Amino acid sequence: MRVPLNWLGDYVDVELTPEQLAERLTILGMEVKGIEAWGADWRSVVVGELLTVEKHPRADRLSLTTVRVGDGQVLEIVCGATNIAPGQRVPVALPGAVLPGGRRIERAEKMGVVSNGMLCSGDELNLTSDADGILILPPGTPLGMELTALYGDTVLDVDVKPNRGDALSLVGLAREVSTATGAPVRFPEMRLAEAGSATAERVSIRVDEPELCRRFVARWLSNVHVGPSPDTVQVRLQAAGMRPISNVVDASNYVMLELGKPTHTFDAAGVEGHELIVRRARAGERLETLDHVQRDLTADDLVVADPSRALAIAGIMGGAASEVSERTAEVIVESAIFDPVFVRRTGQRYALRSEASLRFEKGQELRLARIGADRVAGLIADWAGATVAPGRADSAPSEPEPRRLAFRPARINRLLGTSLGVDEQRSILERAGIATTPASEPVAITIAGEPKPLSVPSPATDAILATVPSWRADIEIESDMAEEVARIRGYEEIPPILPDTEMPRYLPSPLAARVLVRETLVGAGVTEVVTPALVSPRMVETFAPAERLVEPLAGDDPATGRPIRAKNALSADHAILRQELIGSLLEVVGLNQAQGRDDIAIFEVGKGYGFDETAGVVHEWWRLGLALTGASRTAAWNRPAQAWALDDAKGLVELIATRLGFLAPTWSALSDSAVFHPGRSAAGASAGALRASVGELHPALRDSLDLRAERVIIATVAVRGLAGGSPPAVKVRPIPRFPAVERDLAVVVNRSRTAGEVERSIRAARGALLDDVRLFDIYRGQPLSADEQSLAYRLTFQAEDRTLTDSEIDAALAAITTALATDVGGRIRT
Amino acid sequence: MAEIAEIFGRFGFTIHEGPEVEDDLTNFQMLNIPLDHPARDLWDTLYVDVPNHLLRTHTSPLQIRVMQAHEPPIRALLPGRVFRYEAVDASHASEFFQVEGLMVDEGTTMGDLRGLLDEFSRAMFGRDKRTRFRPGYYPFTEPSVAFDVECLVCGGSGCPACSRTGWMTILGAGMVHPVVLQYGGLDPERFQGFAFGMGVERISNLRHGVADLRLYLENDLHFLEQFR
Repeated sequence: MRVPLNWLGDYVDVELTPEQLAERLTILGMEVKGIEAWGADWRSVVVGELLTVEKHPRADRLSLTTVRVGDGQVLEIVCGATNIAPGQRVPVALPGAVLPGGRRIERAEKMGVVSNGMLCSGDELNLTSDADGILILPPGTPLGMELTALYGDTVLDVDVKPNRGDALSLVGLAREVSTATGAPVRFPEMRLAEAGSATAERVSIRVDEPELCRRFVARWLSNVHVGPSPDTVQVRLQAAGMRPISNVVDASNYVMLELGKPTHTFDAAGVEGHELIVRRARAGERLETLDHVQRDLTADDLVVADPSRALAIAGIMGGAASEVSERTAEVIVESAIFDPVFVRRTGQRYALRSEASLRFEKGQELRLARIGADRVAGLIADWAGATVAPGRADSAPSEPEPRRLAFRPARINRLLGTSLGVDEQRSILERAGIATTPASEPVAITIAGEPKPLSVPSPATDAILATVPSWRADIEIESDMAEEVARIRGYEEIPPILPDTEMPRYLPSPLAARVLVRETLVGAGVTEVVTPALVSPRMVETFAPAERLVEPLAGDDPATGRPIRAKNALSADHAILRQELIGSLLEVVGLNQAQGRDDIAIFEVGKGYGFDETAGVVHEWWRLGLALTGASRTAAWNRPAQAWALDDAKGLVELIATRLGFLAPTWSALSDSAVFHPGRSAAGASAGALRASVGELHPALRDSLDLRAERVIIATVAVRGLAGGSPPAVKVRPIPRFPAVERDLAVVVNRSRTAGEVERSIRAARGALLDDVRLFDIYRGQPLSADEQSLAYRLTFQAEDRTLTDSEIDAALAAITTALATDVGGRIRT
Repeated sequence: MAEIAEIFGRFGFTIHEGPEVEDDLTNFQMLNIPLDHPARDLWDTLYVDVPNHLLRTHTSPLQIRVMQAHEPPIRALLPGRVFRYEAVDASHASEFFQVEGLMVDEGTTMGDLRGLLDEFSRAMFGRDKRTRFRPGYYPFTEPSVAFDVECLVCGGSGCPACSRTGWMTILGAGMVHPVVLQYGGLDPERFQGFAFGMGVERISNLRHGVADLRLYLENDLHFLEQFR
């Protein structure tokens, strides 16, 4: 809310600088987001007196004026307005002046006469909404005075929290200032000069929906002369961010800002039978609102109507047919309390949310209906010469007594960590207008309200009864009272301590595996990225969860369920929750290639999401994704560049498995995937602990994604522990005390056999003695046949308790040879 | 994130996680934010095509989940990705990361909250930086707190980075609301405690001098590699 300090000064004396006031309000909970020097954009605009006004010799529509601007200096200025006359005081923009919006005024020739500046309209200065005439200043305004000194103000931008609708008003903020400084609040003068026949005789009201409109007050005004508001009023409204419209409408807006009470003014001529009815709209009913939009109403809208048609959407916007205009002579003022939820829903349905509906949504105290009606009527009487009819039409005149709320000072100390005495707490509350008295009999303490109410009895000796001011609907429970004590006294007065209560029983960190994966990959030169989980539908179609990764590892969710869509997505590119990370990583690759980066190595640890319709369960599963392209090592004087290759990705996956204490993964061919290159890809698995698909991006996909690298290596990995839980502790084996024996073995197999299959066969048949298997050479060609290849492995044998003999190793080799023949049709090449 | 977790880890806070596709009840109603409550405006929500579910708008529903799953004493740190229906600009992103803290037992006070947050600020931003503890508003805390640190750009004298106030707000906090305690299965007469929540990117911005939140999800390596 914008708070012009000159205006605030009507309701409370402020003897602080704007900065000091902003600080005091902020620490009281009314956060000041900004301090604006209103009028600082008028430079070199001063007060002048018109000495002469004559016709321009060569232009009918222009006048030639002489203006005195103080110190006896007289300027000749050409002016186009018609509302000027000698003797008036007016704002003069001197040559070199800058007006709002950056408009610069210079000495200029106008139709053969030199104009030494410009006379300004209220609109040109952003002071009033009058663009046609020159702003005429009060007669006594000092000549030569800077306009900034006259109309400039400081405007605070106060962020009023949603629970403090009462403070969305100058009076409400004046109460806060009073709480901070002790200065008394001056409530606006409410005495009305009433005359003529009573309101009740002129206008009748009927509320069909008392639940939705708890009070409806109307006032009748006759002899209304609609015109512009006084300049000072217009200036205030402008400074507060509202455009002046006419004295009647301005009165309503003025009271909304002053008291926080939205009201509406009807031209009585547009109200049939002078009868106002609050009812639900009828199906098929239409209303042209003030913005000249025809609106189809529904039974979920509350309207203010006359006997034949809807006149206004309650609390949201008036209708065009009963709008106050220059011809209006009689006005009905409506000041009602509408249901916050209803106003909120209707405002959302029509995308019509205004300063008024905002205030209704936060709830309004019942008294305000009466006070608002009186105040608006009084201002229209003052500004539009109107006669106020005596009395009001009021649907629910009785006003409830202020609520009483009991609290226990000891409980407040226990919450705040303070040791304030009972009297101290009471005098603190007094500053916010909360009167207190010790409870004389046992009372109920309200611990919690809706939607889960709870109250407990308290013995009389403990409790204090507080009378909550009618406007403070936010104070409902004992903890609200604790906040009130804390904020009035100052949160800064709460002594900081460090927790010394009992510690929780220890729980393992679910991040341990993720941290290890990150550290490992970052250490290997791969950069972590974090990408949006909401992606495009096309990406979700292209990158579905790999079937072999669907089955969950311990602790994780299965990668199943249909993709989940956002119903109100902001853009098609971020409309659906991803099921795979690879698509997102490839987007990052594309973006960085566009930035001129060719060497890219990135990873992400994130979730895939799916909804299982049958079970009604949402699944969220964890993945590690990798994308590597360009050079893993750039060229240097002593080495050539080295490109990222499939083996690097496999190596990274193996490194992760090792770091997490899992068995090294075994690899097999990855068959028929549209994402991976058919020949250059592999599936890895480490029983129950890790499953990976690794490979080159399918060339067709690379082209359709417009990636300019020759090859991009990608991987998607399910890792036990990513979803939480601690990685297993690495079990230490004794350091070998006996020598290892190495043997090389060349296996001839059909070319359709993968290295992984051969290795698996060797490992399966290895016996206890085989410690390691490494592929060190692949040979194709003579003397082998065209469909054969030779894979050469180095086998390491080791025993923990003895030096191995040749015969033991030969026996192991023989077992392996037999296994290779049966498993993969391999023979040993000698 | 790791640094935040490490700092609170010193005080016995352990990490708990939860779903990102959250139900409306836990994300809003159990946190004392009923349907049609004006406070819902504080969270522009992305709804999904799963009945009664949405993309969690904050990590606060984890407060409920932790209280339901664990007996006090509770000292929990609740990190995760959150979603908002918000156009992306320099200071807003539709996806970002939050960390929530929750401490509940029989005697945790606002003084503990203040002491802990002061310690966090000292560890994160330096021992010489002043802090400010002032009223805030959240439906799920009462009293509510906004926690500021002296502007890291101008040192408190007032500059555009802090809107000339000399302070930067780094997190919101407060004493857990009795309604929330009850939905967590705890008796608010016996148990009390505090919760706090912060944007991870915001803390990182302040610490590393990043001006534009979009950089985090754009993943230009020129930007990312500076954090190695």
